Amino acid sequence: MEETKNKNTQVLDIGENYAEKYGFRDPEEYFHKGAKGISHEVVEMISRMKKEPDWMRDFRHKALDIFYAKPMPKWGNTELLNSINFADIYYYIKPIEAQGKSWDDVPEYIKKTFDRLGIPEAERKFLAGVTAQYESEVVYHSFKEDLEKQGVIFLDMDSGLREHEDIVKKYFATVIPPNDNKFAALNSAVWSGGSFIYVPPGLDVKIPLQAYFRINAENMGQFERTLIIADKGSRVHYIEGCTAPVYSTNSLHSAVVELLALEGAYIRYTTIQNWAHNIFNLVTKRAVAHKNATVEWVDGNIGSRLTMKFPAVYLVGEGAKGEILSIAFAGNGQHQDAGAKAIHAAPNTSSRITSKSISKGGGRASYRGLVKVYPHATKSKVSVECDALLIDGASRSDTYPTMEIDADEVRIEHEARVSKVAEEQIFYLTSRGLTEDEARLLIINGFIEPFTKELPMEYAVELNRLIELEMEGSVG
Amino acid sequence: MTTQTTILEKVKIGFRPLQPGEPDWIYRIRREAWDRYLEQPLPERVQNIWRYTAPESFLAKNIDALMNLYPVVPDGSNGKPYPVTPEYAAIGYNLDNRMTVTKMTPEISAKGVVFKDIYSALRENEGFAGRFLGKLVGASFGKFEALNLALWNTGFFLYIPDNTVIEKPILMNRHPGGQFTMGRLLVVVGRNSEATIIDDYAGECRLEDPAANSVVEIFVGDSSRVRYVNLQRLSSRCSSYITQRAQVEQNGSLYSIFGAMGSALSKVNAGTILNGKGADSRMYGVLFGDNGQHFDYHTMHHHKASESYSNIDFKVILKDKANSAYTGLIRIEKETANCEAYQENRNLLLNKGTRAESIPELEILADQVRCTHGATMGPIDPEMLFYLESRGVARVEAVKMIVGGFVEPTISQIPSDLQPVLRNLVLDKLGSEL
Repeated sequence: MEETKNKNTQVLDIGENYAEKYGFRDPEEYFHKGAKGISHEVVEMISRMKKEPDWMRDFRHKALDIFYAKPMPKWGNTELLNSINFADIYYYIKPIEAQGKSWDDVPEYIKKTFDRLGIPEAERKFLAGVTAQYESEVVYHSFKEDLEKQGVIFLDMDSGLREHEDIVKKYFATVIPPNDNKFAALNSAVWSGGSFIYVPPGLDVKIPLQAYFRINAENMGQFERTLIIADKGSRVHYIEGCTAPVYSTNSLHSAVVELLALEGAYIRYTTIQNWAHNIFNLVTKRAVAHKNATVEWVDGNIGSRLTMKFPAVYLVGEGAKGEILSIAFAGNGQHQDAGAKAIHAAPNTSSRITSKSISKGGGRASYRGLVKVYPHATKSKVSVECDALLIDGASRSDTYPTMEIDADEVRIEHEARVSKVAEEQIFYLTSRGLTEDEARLLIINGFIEPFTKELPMEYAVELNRLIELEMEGSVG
Repeated sequence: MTTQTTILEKVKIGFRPLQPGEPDWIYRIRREAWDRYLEQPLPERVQNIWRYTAPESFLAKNIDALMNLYPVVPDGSNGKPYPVTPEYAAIGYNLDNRMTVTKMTPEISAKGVVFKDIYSALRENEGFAGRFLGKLVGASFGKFEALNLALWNTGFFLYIPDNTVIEKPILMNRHPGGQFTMGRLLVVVGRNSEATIIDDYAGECRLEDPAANSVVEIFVGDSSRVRYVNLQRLSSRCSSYITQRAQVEQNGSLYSIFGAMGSALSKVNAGTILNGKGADSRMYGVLFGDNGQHFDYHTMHHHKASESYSNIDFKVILKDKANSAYTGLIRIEKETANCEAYQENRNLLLNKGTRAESIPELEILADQVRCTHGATMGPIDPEMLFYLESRGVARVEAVKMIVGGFVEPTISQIPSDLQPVLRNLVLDKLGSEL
């Protein structure tokens, strides 16, 4: 405990409650902890331990070559990006030998971690299924029987590959190939864990599917790989939430998330990212929406040192819809480089991007977005709205929207606003008896309300609580 | 590598004075800029400002053309009168990329205004004009800007003293010749003065190397009001590259107006640094492209001082495979307070095959700000067209009215004496196409 406290003090701008609430950590008791650094041997070892089919092993090796060959991105926060030492990261850690079959099999120390995160209660209450990722393997996995009977597959990615190789092989890396970018290549080489979901045609999954991810080992990268396929006319809502213990050296998190919404399907993917403030979160998230399908990303970025995450929707079928709703909160030492991409590749497609960001205490929030309309995607509609709130003079807010319109008969609208919390609003609220802190919090909650109202209730509550923690001591 | 070396060798032999007896200090600045040009790589396409236009387009096709630029001809009037027409206070001409002619009315020369070709102005007044050369757009600005500083051989210097109001506009006619054209305009306005500058690029590009590279630097002193109009009506064979930077001091104001109709390829990088408290900068753009024309306009407003105000309003009309890339940056520095910055880019796509890109960027490092930007792209609203036609307006007229209505809010913002210039440019272009 003493040691933890010392380390906590090195991390700037984390409320004291934060450390107690989320900053606990367990002694590292790993069944297997590979060596640091990345090489073809490490990739071979990961693939062998997972007893993967040859095509996946080859895929990993090819991806590693692409990772080596690709240069670091030359845009964004290059200073932080170039500070990543790939040789100083564990690429694979397996906490226990086999996956917990039932709650009783889950080791006590892991249970304790989950208890403090509140997962079992949440599950008992109403969750459909939980895959809680602890380190690189999924240790606990439950599923409601009726969903299983209906043919919904909800597994961790490794089990998905073992049990449904045909589906995985058909769709894996079709949305985000390894050569998409350097970090997607890295993930493709060393991925471990993540969720695999298949929803059969016409099925409406009424209850959101959820997974919690945690990072727990110092210098350890997590490379989840999530693949969600909603077959024709089906509907599914997936929720991913993250909290992480506080550590003193940088940790890398680089996930790849692929969504496929086939004809007429609907996918909503909700994330609240709350990594500790020393974690690099470099994520590739992309969805393909076929004819008349709808994909919605609801994306909250609160934690991490540097987040680069631009959820994308490729509208490839006529009448497809995409919606991306995001908030970013950047505190001291943080850079939230988040945004959205909408690619219109078919006629009559529509997309809507709403982005809200809050910067405080020297934090930097950037909106970076791309809207592209290809020549034949006529009668498409795009609307982009970015609002930024600056809490103090030390903070920074950037907006980098890119719009490339190659078709006629399209309607594009983009708007952005940057402002500070209005003094009149604060004055009004304080004159009604609120303290200045309360007033500010109330205004901020109002500012992000379009986002929170899209979240399931307990997430909205948790998000408001997180913002409250982040805002503590911000006035003065 | 070997080609690079050959070029360097050639340059050592070939880099020559602008004119016999060129002052050392000018030669030195140019020579250093030339070295900077040679050592800088081409800009990387990953930067937004080069995302839509290949930098290669602005390289001289052959280095000999660069090294054998015409020498400066300070007074190219050749005995001809070149009168100042009554609507202007002064007129300058650049002819065939070598002759520079400047004429002022006696009234303004009595006020102490200096209007000269840039070479003579620098040569005669190192202590003053020399202080400003390359201060806003120098050799480290970029590869093509370094090239300009190294090889400029035409252009104007304009100085307006303190407390001087020039009511009529000062017109600069720029006619690039057949060669790679290197023009430079340096404007220094003292305190509490007023001037209007019309910088008009027009003409035919005759040879196989039809690129114009132009740099404009404008210094606006305390409480002065300057209006700068940049018209680009070059022939459809030209490619033009214009970098403009202005610096506005305390309570000064600058209106920059861009009208672009010509050139096959036109890249403009225009920016204002709001350097003094209460500085005010507004940029208005009306761009009309057709026939595969490519416009690439970048604007920048850099707020370095408190209570500064900036506004950008760019309207783009495109038809017949024309395309436009607009990128704009607003940056508000730390420790400024109460800055306001607005930016709007609207694109009207008249028919199929046109393309518009827009990247309006914001970088805000202070909290006491009001800042918004917006961008839209779309065709003529069919309902508007239907409404007008149902009232008996012919389609051609209806389109004219709608296009006029699209640019009018921008045009009506600019000083009223300049409005007809832009309005006519749009109508002419529209009229000739319909």
